[in-house]
Amino acid sequence: MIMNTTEIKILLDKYYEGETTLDEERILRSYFTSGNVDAELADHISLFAYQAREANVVASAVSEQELTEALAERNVIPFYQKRNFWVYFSGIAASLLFIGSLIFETQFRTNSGTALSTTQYTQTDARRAYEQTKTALAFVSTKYTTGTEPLGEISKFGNGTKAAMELARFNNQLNNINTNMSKVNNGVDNLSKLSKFTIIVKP
Amino acid sequence: MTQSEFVNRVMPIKDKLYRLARKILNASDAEDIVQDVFYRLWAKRGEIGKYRSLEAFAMVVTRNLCLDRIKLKSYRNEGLTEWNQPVDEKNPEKTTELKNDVEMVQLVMKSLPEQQRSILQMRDIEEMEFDEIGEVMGMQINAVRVSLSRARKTVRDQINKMHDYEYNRNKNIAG
Repeated sequence: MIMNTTEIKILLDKYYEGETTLDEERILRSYFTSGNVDAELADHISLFAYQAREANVVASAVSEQELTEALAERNVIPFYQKRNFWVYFSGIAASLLFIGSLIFETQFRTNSGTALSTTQYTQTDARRAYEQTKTALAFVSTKYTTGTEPLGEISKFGNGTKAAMELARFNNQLNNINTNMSKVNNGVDNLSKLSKFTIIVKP
Repeated sequence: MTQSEFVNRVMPIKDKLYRLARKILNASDAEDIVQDVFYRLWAKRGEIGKYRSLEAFAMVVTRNLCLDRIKLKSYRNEGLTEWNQPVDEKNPEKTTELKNDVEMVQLVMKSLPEQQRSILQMRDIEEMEFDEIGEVMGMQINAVRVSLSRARKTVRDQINKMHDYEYNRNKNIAG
């Protein structure tokens, strides 16, 4: 398709506005790379020559064989890296534990008569243990009371909330104002109805 | 999709992806990115159906990976010399003057913001439709058009400026 300079100029203007179609852009590209360009349009040659050249750039380092091999390598996942493996493994481990504990339980039950009676405590042992527990609990109790003392300050917070209650009264007043305002609104509505009425009556 | 089907589908678009990546990164990084894009596409092959085409999806992934890499290392002052590498050995008959002009355009392209560069690449070199470009860029068609127009005009004005400069310099030398 051979075009004259005026037509090319029109296309160029459209091109710079981003309004050319792909076909029109191909016409421009073939015109400017034809080697037969009007001198007054020569400034535009380099742009289209650049585009034509860039379209021929290829990625030489990426080959089909390499990609196939690399993908195949990525596909081989060791069995312990598969998510399924761990799901199965934890399932088996859990059920083994469960069965093991059942066996242990039944064994323990049958021997329970002798299991605990192997150690015998004397009465003095028991008394000593009781005394030690008592002193330990007393110690804990003193620490506990000192720990709770600062909590007494919480009562001050109660005072603060009382003051906040006063705000509620303010809210009531606001409600009153609101109801009053709506009455005023009604009044205004009525007035506007009246004004319509007068308009109708005038003529 | 089997692996060989996948390879057959992505190999034809590798150059296109590479050219887009090269507009954002330098040449050797761009090759890396294309490999990486293919691995990710293979891993996400279930999501390909969400996009208009495998190609559009691949372009989105390519651009995102490139932008990630830019964030990773600072690319700011790098690459101008690398961009000057002659890419074209097919047309040795071109005059050196024109070759210099083309290099000049390349420099101007490099100075554009990434968004405009990518849009110019997809429209003027890959000949993609506006809606396809919009999908890749995550932009409305009109916004793509505006950005494209702005980019083309910037390139034109910069080239004119350079031509004027050359012209004045030659005149000064002659005079």
